[in-house]
Amino acid sequence: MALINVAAREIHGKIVYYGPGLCGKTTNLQYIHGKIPAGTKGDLLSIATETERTLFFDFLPLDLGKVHGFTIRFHLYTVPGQVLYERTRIAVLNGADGVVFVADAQRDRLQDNLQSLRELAQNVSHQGKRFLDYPLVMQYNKMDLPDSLPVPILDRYLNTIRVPRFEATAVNGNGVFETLRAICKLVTNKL
Amino acid sequence: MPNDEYSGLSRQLRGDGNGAPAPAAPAPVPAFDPNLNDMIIDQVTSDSIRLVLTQLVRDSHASGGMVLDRAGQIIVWDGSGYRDESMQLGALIAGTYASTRQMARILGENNFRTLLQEGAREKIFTEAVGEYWLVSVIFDRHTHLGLVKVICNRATVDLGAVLLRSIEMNRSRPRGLDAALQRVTRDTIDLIFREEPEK
Repeated sequence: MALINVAAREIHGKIVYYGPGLCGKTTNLQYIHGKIPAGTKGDLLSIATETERTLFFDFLPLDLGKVHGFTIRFHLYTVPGQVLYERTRIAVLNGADGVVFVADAQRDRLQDNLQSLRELAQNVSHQGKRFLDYPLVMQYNKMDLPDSLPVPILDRYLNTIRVPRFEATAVNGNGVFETLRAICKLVTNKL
Repeated sequence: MPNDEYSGLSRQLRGDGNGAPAPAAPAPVPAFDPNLNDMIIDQVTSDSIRLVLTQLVRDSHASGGMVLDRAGQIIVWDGSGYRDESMQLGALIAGTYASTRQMARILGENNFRTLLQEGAREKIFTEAVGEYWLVSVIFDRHTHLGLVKVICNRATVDLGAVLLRSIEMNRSRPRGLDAALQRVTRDTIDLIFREEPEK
């Protein structure tokens, strides 16, 4: 969980973007990286396959600057969404302080979303944490596409535990910062 | 449209126990576990870690070294090289270690205690410290790997003792950040992550 380094006057939090393959996790980080002021961000590190699919993770350090003498840092990670990388997702999830679950709102991806969400719940539980108490924010991405499901349907199947959720079109930034703001606040509240 | 299967799954995620089986019960929560609680590193702990790390870096003629938690967050960094890239290195080393631990489990091992990355000029040697931390040193071809292994192994004993003492102190500390600090942090988050931050 979070590291509070009193000696270095730093607070570090780890936030993981989780979700099925091609749901837009990396797109979220790319948009954030493109829009955040230069002094607030580090380089976006992506370990991807030849076809630009995430192989290991993306990593974006954010530095909120000094608050009451403490430097607040959030490290944003994505997991690889493809089914075969389950063990890698467990590795990246290790020590996370909060998760953004990015769901692909398209009708034919609902089953993938559910499978990924169930896997997330299991992985969190296996780390000894209660999923229902876990800082979690949900993002319904690709809401601009014609075959996206309406929010009430997505809520019914994906957000039964009623965590904060945001509609998004990550590729043009809609909903990206609302989601980030919400998870950062949830993590801060847990510190 | 999905129905029964997904409704069952919804119940499973809610954990209300009807229909689909509930997720496995979480393991009992110990009094303090750095995987579950915020880890606080105070000045005494930081100084003690730095003492061990500085000696390790010096003895191995390393350009850099770090003690980090397994989430990739650096507790103490020492050395002249790669300081600007330390955050990325920390994330990658912790990720690699976590990944190899999954490999170990597939092979029926609990974990692999050490990692070695070897290039033409530089090498990185990483060793687990207790159950929650790692120590890494970056050194070049002029230093013998065997030497680094020996002194790193010795350092993990000292570092483990320091960090375990820190866990003991964390056990008795009151939890939670100062309310004012939390409030200002939230305000800062609002300020920086507003809809369209300026470049």
